[in-house]
Amino acid sequence: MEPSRTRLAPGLIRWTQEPDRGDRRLVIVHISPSGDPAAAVAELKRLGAVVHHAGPGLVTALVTRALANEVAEQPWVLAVVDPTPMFPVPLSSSMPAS
Amino acid sequence: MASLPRRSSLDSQLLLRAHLASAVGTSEPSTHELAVKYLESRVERLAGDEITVKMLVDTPAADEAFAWIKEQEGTVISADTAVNSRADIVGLILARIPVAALLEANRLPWLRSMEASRLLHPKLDVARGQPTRLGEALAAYPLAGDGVVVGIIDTGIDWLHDDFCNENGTTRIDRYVHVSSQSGIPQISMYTREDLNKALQGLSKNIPPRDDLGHGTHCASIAAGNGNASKGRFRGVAPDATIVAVRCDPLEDANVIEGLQLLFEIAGDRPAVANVSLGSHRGGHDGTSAMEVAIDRMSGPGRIVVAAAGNEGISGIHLSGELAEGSDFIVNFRVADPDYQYVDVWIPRGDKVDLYIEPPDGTSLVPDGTLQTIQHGTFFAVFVEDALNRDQHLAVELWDGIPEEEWKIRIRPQEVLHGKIHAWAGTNHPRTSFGLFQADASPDCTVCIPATATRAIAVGSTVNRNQFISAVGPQDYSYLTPGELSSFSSHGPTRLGVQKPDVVAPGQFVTAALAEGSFFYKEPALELNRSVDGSYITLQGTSMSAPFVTGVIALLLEREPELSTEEIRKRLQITAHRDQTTGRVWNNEFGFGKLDVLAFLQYSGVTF
Repeated sequence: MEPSRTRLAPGLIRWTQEPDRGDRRLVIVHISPSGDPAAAVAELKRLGAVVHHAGPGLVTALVTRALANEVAEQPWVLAVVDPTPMFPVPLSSSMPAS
Repeated sequence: MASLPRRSSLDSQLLLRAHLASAVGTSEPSTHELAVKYLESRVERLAGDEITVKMLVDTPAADEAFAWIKEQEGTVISADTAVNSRADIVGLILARIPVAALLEANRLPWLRSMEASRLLHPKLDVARGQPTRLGEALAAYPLAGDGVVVGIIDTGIDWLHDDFCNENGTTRIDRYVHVSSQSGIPQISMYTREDLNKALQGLSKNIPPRDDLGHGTHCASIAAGNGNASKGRFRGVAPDATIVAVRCDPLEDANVIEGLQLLFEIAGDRPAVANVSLGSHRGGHDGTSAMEVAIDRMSGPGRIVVAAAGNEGISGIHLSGELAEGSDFIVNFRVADPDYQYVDVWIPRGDKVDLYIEPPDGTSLVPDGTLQTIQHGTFFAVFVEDALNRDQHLAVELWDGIPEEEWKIRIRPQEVLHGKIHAWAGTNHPRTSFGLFQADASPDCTVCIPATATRAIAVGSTVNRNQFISAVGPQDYSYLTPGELSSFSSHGPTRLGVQKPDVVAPGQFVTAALAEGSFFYKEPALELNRSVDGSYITLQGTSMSAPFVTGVIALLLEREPELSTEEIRKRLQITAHRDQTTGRVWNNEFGFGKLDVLAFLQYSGVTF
């Protein structure tokens, strides 16, 4: 069995399969190592994304389903992933883990 | 003749309490007199008709335990994650039960032990003493983090807490940042020292909720609280450091990344150390996820990130194995959370495999990247070449699963070059992310993301004390041995074999600031952890050990503001304490050993 080769993370593959209700989602775009973040931001805006944050190697932006697929096809994009929930890591024997 | 010990599940205090209670009202005057005298002399927690007990139970019998407590008209205060998992281990239930039920409890087959609170001498500041030699270090080197920014990227901060205020009542918080992406719309609100001072004087009320959970407040207090509310008793490690608190709402990596960048921008020319006591197991555990990339790229001279290693050492959320041609490898996982859970299987590039998802009914389905609903739940399974690390990734997500049903992932190797596979599983709630792989689980490679980042200082936890005083009396955990690794502390290495954790520090138990109005403040189950005056709470976890190291790094940055992560790691590695409990280091559990602040500062040659 060959793995599919896509720059979309599994969570976004599933999301883009859902019926398009016009909703948008925050994604993290990994830029290829030689990519220029400023140019990536400009290009994302040109494509129609709402850029939230740009840092070294990463840009976060709001995209539609169609736009997620389009961004993933850009040559300067390494991967497009969905934000991951993080959990605080305290623990107490007398408390439910939060 | 040697006497044989009497076998009892109840500790001696409970046994005495049970027998005396049964003796009250008997016709035997001496026993009656003794019983009444005893009961009258005891503090309230032991007198009365009910008593709070800690029950260690065999978790497969957890339902029987809950039923028994109900039958006795008792009340379950809380149950730990082990109990909720029903995995075949021992779990803790905290309950109020009638004293009259104690003798019967002693005959319950599933009850391993039952303990009451005990009168003990307080040892509230142990983390500062022998375990880390922080006290000695500060006596030799008067450092307090002056001029250093300590950033807490977390759930917020209770900026009204006295430990974050100066003696004159003004705030010690340089900036309070609220990074929010609720409803998908990103938003940043930033509050300056002046804004907070106005709010402290009651002149402004437009600052958003402080800390709903209380986690960020606790971490900030460990690293940089000044202990004002306790007259210095519970001061943090670097009490003169400047605090920048970032509240991430929700707690997602995108918001944490934004928070980190804002922190370092706010720090400007000042050295800064960020604490991230947050984690996740979604990703390759190899340095390529967004959080790991962000930490590696933002770190540099005077820009340090400390991360909690994670509390999954005994959680059963990871397994690994070797593929062999001609032999199927089966990943069994149980349904722990009917709402949602995931399994990520990582297969090295170059290995050729066939994959099948096998629900409990024995059917075999291929991971074709479509959403499928069957009688056992709705699942999505897709097999991709990960765009970031080029390894093969099978992602399985399950909704509406039937609790305790067992699913299988069958991996049929066709051609094996590398062969080492890893899998991580979880849910959306840490309390149900437990025992998902059951007997197949391995404690190794449970260091969470982003502690797996190359440039993060990853911190595990040791037991620093086994007793503390709370609002309801002394708490005793004498089954824990100070100096040992906390059983929950996540083990390394990373999936690629990188050495994590770096060091271990006190994380079991740590008393620090309690955010008023937070979950930690209100949750009844935490009554045993809160201090008498309600300003502090005692918690455990690598969330607590990480800010201890964050504070220590702030001390060093005060003198050497340009230090890099690599240099700090090298010094931690060289000076970490090794003993019989650590064994040979580096190892998966202790990293390079136990934090030794005195040796760390001595080696660094701090001079005045």
